[in-house]
Amino acid sequence: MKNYCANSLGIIFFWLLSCTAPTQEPAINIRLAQDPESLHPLSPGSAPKIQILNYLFQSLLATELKDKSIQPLLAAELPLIERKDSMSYFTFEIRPEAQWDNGSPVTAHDVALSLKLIHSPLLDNERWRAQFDFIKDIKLYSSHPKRLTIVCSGYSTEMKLMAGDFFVLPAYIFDPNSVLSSIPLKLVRDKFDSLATSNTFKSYASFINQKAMARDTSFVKGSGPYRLSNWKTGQILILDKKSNWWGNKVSKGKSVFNSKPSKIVFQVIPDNAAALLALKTKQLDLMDNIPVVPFIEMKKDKKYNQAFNFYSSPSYDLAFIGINGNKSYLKDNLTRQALAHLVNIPELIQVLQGGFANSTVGIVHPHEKQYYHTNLKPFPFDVKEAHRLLNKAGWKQTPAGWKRKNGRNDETLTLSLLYRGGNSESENIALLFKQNAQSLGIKINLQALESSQIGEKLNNRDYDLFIRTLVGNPYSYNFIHLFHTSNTHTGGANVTGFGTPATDELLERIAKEEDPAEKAVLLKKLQEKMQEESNLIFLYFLQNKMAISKQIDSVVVSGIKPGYDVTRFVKKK
Amino acid sequence: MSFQKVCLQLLRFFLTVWFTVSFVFLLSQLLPAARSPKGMQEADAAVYGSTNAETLQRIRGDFLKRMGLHLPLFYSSITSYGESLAKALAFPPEDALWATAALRKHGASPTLAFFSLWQAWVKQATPTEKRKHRELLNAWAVQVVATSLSPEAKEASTLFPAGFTKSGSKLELAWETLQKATAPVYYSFPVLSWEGTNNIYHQWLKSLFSGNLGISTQDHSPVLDKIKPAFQVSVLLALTGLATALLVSFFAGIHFSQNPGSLFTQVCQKFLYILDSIPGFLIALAIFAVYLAFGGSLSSSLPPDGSSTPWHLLLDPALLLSSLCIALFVIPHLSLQFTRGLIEQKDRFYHRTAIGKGLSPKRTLWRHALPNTLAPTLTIISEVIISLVAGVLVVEITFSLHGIGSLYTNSILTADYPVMVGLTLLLLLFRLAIVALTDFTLNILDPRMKTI
Repeated sequence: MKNYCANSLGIIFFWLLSCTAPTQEPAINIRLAQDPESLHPLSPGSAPKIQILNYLFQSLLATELKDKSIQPLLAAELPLIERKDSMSYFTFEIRPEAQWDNGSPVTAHDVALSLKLIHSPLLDNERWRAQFDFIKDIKLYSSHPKRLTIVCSGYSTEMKLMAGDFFVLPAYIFDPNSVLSSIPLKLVRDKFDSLATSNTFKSYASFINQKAMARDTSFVKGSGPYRLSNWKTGQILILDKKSNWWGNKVSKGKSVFNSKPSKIVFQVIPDNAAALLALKTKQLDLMDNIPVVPFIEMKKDKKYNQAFNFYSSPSYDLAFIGINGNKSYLKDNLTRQALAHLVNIPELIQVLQGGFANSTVGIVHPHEKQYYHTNLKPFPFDVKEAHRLLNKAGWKQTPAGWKRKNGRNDETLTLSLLYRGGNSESENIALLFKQNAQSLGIKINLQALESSQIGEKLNNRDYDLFIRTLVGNPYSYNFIHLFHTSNTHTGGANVTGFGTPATDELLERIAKEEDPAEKAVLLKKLQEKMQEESNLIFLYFLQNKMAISKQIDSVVVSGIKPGYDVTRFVKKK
Repeated sequence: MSFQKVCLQLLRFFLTVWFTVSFVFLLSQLLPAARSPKGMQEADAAVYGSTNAETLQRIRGDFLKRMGLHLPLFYSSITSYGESLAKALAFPPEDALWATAALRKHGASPTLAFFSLWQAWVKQATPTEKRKHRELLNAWAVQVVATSLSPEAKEASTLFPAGFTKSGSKLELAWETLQKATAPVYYSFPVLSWEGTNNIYHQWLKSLFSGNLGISTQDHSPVLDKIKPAFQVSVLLALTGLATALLVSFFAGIHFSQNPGSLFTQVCQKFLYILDSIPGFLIALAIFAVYLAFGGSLSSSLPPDGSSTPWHLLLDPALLLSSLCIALFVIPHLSLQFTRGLIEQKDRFYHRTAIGKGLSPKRTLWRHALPNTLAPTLTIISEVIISLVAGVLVVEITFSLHGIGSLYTNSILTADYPVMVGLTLLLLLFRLAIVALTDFTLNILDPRMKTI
């Protein structure tokens, strides 16, 4: 009897052990520096929010992180572009396989709704209204529910991506009662003010502006490969791959349809020191934006070299010092060039970035070999040359500082330098600049301010110098809003007062130029002009310092945000 | 305490709360981040493609209207006499900008003279001409009020806007007369003007009294909905840490005061002094490092269905570690002060009398010394509770807990001012409540306070 019991128990235990759940693929653990706060696809947000939304929702076109090309995502092909008079028409055909989670197909109707939401009143969409103002209308075809034509005013080369670069939202979730669906896009734009006062629209807007749209897993759903399965605010976000995702049918050979990991876990660790601890104890597989000193230390340590691969991928974030050309004492380019000679760029890169930055002569990234002006070098650090330039500009060095007579007034070269308070990198750049300026006898007053306060001062042109980072990308070389003289008025984005009719013309031509060779010629001329004027002293392009676990295969790092393509990652068991 | 005294205290309580929270609210409305749509705060860093400045201005205006920020901020505002005069004259909205600037700079009569000629000209002008001239006038107005104008630009601004009608026309002559005139000095004197109850502050106060703290600008959730779970986490964390600290400090204090000379007491006290001088974030990081080194993970606590009951919360390793950290922050100060308090009581006459009369040291301590130490200890405890807010913040950030501290920091960093103002109100009420509770408890426990 005892034997029989023991045997049966043994068999039961053996059966229980063998009936384990199917071994799950290991999850990929990534650190997020801040909680996304909201996953509402309509309201603008932080970088973590945009990164996660890109795994849940899709747009018509996408950028391939590996080769930076523009690829059709929800669209079957790149759009057919037609230019007539002052309008341009982008015709898309949505992939036949594309469908939502409820099985219904993605149609032009959904694209139209997405554009209407971008242009509607009472919604948190001002940023997108500004960006997509050029989209005036959308044409649908009753015989082809998957075909659409986006009607845009004017044409610039960046529209080739921008016309398809907005999230396509499911009408069955975002407009279940067909409120917006019955109103054409053109009417939404034209009757903006009256729509804002209509009661039907007000109740629709409160439906869109609700907490569930930003947080609830049953609302935050798109056509993307992943779904939000869990979100513990401030701690963790879990994305699970959809079991029957439509993209699996088309993914062969198409890199934008990768979705290799079955589970991605985002751990929210705001504190850098805590995040590094988690990385070192292998709680994380990937951490990016690692500060310089710990990055260099980890690279030297044998133990971490065995566990991690270290990358320093170039990004399109450009650190620069801006000079207010609107001020009378900074109006001439010789004074500004003199200030440019007081910046020791190689020292800044070595000391502040540990060598992990790309020096640049202008607004084009040195890796964009076709467009970067390789024959032009940034101004070297040369106090003597600065002295000579100041003298040439009419400044005279006196015991009380550099002085100059300007009409009836006496000008003194004492400058204030604004930088973001709390940001040690900007602070160090400011201190080093102050030190170099002091060696020439120029007094610099440093002012650490909060970011929005700096923005306000820049808007009012109430500053001398400032340190900022420009976030760029390799797709758009349309700098009209930043550098055209039509935007130098108070409130416009051309805060440094840069520009001449010649540069205006260059900017306008660059925005429209299709031929890469001709564009390269124009961009190089622009880089020359910008250096000559020196309204902006370009410091360096930042690099994104990352550590990725050696357990992960098929790693792709990129200059395009977020800096890595997690959809390609394969984690070894 | 008399009824009058209680009423006065309550009144003082409410007035303090009202003034402080109103101050914080008004300040938050003045910050540039509050008046800019999300993603459009840094005009030079964002990319807007080819959207022109006029459209951007219109979109910003729409944002202000949507958020109700186009209303005046307070019941009254301080403007210059010139501006209040311009407002009273009620220029049409499309001409208001340049007409106000002209009135402030050059005076009422020349401006009105020019304005009547302008209106006559507008009636017969084509729409393109009208638009072009308005643009020129508005650009001139913007230059006039700009603060950082170079001397040459200031000079140029007094000249006729280039291309403005034919020279010698009535309009141009009126413009020249206008430019030559200067507004009297008293036009720039400050004047208090009444804005009425249709202002931002009044709307906010009304909603506050109806229990509505506003809506978060981040994810549209009501502020109270965001504060409740954060409050739950922070209170649980603080109470667990505080309870542990109180227990440990109490028994440590008793033991140290009974055995002041022992090696154990000496070593412990030295250790507590060192612990007191280590900054809070270092202690938190050290605990975190030790935990991770032993293979712990912060993500293992997640329940499979995503729900979390208070019981789940209590078993969360992050919460337990944080409570331990809080306890470590607070124990040194509490136990050392408590020990000192007890040792002080030992020197008192009543203590010596009790011992002399044959009472055991233990009974003297528990029956006589402890109640006398209670009053100062209670004051220290209330101080510690108030300072716990800072400690809780440090610990929440290190262990990624979503409590009041993290919510507060995030709301400031993301410019989510409704949440920030709501939390300020809550923390202020908390602080004042603790102080009031301490006063009340001391009054009951200590008979000596009743005679004061």
